[in-house]
Amino acid sequence: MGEPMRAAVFICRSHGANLMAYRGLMKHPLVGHSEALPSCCSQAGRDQIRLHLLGGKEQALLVLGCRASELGRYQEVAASAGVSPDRVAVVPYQQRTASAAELALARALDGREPVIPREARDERLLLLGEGHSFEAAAEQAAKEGLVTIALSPDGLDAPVHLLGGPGAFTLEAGEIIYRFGAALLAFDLQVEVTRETLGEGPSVVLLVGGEECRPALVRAVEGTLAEGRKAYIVSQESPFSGSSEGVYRALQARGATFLRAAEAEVSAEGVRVHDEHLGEAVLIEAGEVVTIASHRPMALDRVLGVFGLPPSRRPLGPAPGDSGVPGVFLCGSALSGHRDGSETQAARAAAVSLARELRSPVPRTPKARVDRERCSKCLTCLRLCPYGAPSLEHGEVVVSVERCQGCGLCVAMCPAMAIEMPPSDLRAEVRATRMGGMG
Amino acid sequence: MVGGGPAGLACAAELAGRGIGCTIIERREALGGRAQELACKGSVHCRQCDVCRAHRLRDQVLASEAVTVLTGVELEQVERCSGRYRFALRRPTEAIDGGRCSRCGKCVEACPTGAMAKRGGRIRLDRGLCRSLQGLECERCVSVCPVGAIDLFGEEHLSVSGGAVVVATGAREFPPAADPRLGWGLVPGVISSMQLEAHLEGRSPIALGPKGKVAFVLCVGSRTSKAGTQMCSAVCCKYSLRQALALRERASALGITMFIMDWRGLDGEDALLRELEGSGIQVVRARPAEVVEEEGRPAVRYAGDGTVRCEAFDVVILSIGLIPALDDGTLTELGVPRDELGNLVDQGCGDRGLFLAGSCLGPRDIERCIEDGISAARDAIAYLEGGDG
Repeated sequence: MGEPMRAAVFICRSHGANLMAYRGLMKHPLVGHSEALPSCCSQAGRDQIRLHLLGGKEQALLVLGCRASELGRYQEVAASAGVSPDRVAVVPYQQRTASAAELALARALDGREPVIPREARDERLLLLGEGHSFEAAAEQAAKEGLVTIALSPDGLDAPVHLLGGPGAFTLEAGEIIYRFGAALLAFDLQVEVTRETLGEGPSVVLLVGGEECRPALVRAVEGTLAEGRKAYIVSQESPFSGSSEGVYRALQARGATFLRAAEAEVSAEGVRVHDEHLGEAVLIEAGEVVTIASHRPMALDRVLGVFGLPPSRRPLGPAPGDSGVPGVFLCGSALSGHRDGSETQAARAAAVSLARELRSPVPRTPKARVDRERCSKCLTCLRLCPYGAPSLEHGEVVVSVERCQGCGLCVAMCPAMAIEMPPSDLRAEVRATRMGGMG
Repeated sequence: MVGGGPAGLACAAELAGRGIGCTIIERREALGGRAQELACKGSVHCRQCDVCRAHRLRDQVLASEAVTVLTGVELEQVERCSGRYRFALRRPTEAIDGGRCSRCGKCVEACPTGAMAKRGGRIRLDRGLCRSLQGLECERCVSVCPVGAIDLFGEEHLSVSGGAVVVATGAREFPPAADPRLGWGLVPGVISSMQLEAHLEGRSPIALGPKGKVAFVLCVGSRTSKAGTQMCSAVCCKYSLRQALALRERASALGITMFIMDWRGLDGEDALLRELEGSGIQVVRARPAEVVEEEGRPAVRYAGDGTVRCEAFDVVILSIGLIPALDDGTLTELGVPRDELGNLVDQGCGDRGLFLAGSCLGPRDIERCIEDGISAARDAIAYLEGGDG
């Protein structure tokens, strides 16, 4: 690279910008020209900016203290003067701080290119899964106006390969090829109820599962109580949290007994339960044994593997359902902490946030860089990275452009101080400094 | 939008992202709700306490120009007229007129509680400390001010209107002093979980000592028929576990005991429970009866193994529950329907442009509040588009 790029900075006074806040920025080495205008967002102001940019000394435009909605107009002005619209930034007047301006400057001058050009982006959604979260997500995606490819995990019998990144995924499943911009995996835990009748007498419900079994449990116990029989519920932890405590209390008041035990032994005489409080085994002469269990869908781990996600992955990151792998979202009780009946709501929220991300412009991907000389290959970064971005290839640590989100965790924790983020991404630097990792 | 907690913020951010203007009405001085006072509970590994998500949403909302934020406002009246809601609001004005104030500092000297303070070259009033605002007689600052720049009771009236209303008034914490047997405010060393949050964040450190003994008492003010609520709070198990693990990470020699009734709502948290197993944190299934003072330290009395035990600790943390803020005047004004227990239900609200979100519907964690907020935003958009078109 030859001469570094420089930005032209214009400060809009029409919203009462405070020039003092930007004093430092005006002397920034990457600012080629700075000027305060009485009003940037008028035709006269834009003409003046255009005139200046036509001089060709600066390659980026930064407008401070204007309205964010004016960005489009400034991009047009910049394009007509030969400056790329990607290198135009507006710091809105609500955010008039030196650091916001500096961050915007760094972004505008960022030398990296978007991974996928805007015109090659695909707005279709691949919805993969089963259960009621899947249905809720499909319904919400249709409301958002997304073109959805709904796929059941059974459709992925053949060897499957995933290629591409967010905005342009390709999934090859045997002979069939699916193309989409983002994927939503929606899987619910499968609840299974088995009944075994031993004779006359009370009903014992063995609960082998968590809150996802609650509706089935309540149905089973209410059925027993309605027949005038006694009900015992044996479980390790109570599946009633939050407002469903009311249901728990009502069942207890109607004669259901809850026993805490890790396991129970079923024989011809009844059910033997080790009571933690009595410290000994108790025999319940059961007439009926109902077992309610839940398990992960069989196909789930394979599907997660295709998308490069570990089986234990839960949604993380700021947007609901974000899996950490860009463009891949998760929902449903098997893939999130939502098991108390809120999973359909979560599925809807994931579909909404996904639709927004699909349509937002592709950000330039930040990337952590590893200094090979300094790197001691301790693999701390591999273990720490929430997004699974670093990997070891041919004895060297390599960071994936698609996966790295620029969070700066590795920068902060690298013992050899071998990782750096491009200095443009100030967010990462700020966070790393806060965590005390930088020298 | 009524309420500026995580649910309200998520809703506002979603609406703004779709280009729909909205106004957040918040009673407190700052946005963010309770999440403002919470600390990040993962210093090395993220434990997904989601506090950062609330902070990010706040920044997003403050930077967005489609959102108007009104903080520190009190609601006076709501009226609905031809499908639009109009809120009449009252907001206290700045107590010190910056234009007239000569910064002489006489009010700072005169103030008996230190509510007037010089900060950043300007004199400001801490409304929480001011005696006059608490209804006591004082107004010394007003009488000493040579230029008459102080007006403590000034108010301005605002009016906001909109086509749809999202109610996210949230929940309030159980006041730990309401259960005197647990000794909050009476026994030294008994603190609430919110105070521990402040410690974890570094705002007001608590002397824990490197080898101290710490106890967590769960289900304070929840699942009880005495003070508080009969319901489970849904969040205390989750946050207490994270707090305990965060404490363990910072001081590995600390002895930590957790007194629990059940683990609730932790089904999705296998990773945390595994971490707990390996952490050496002792978990006792008991509901402590009392916290008493023993040689200047708090001691927890509880029943375990068939006998009554009394164990002394350095610090006892009461994990206080959440109670939906149901006595809020806004809810009555808006006529939000309730069930027989007084809880809010969203039955039929959507038809008149009223949407509920967040922990006013029942205690819930930040993640669920955010999802609620987004869903409410989508419902509101559908209502507005259908209603106008």
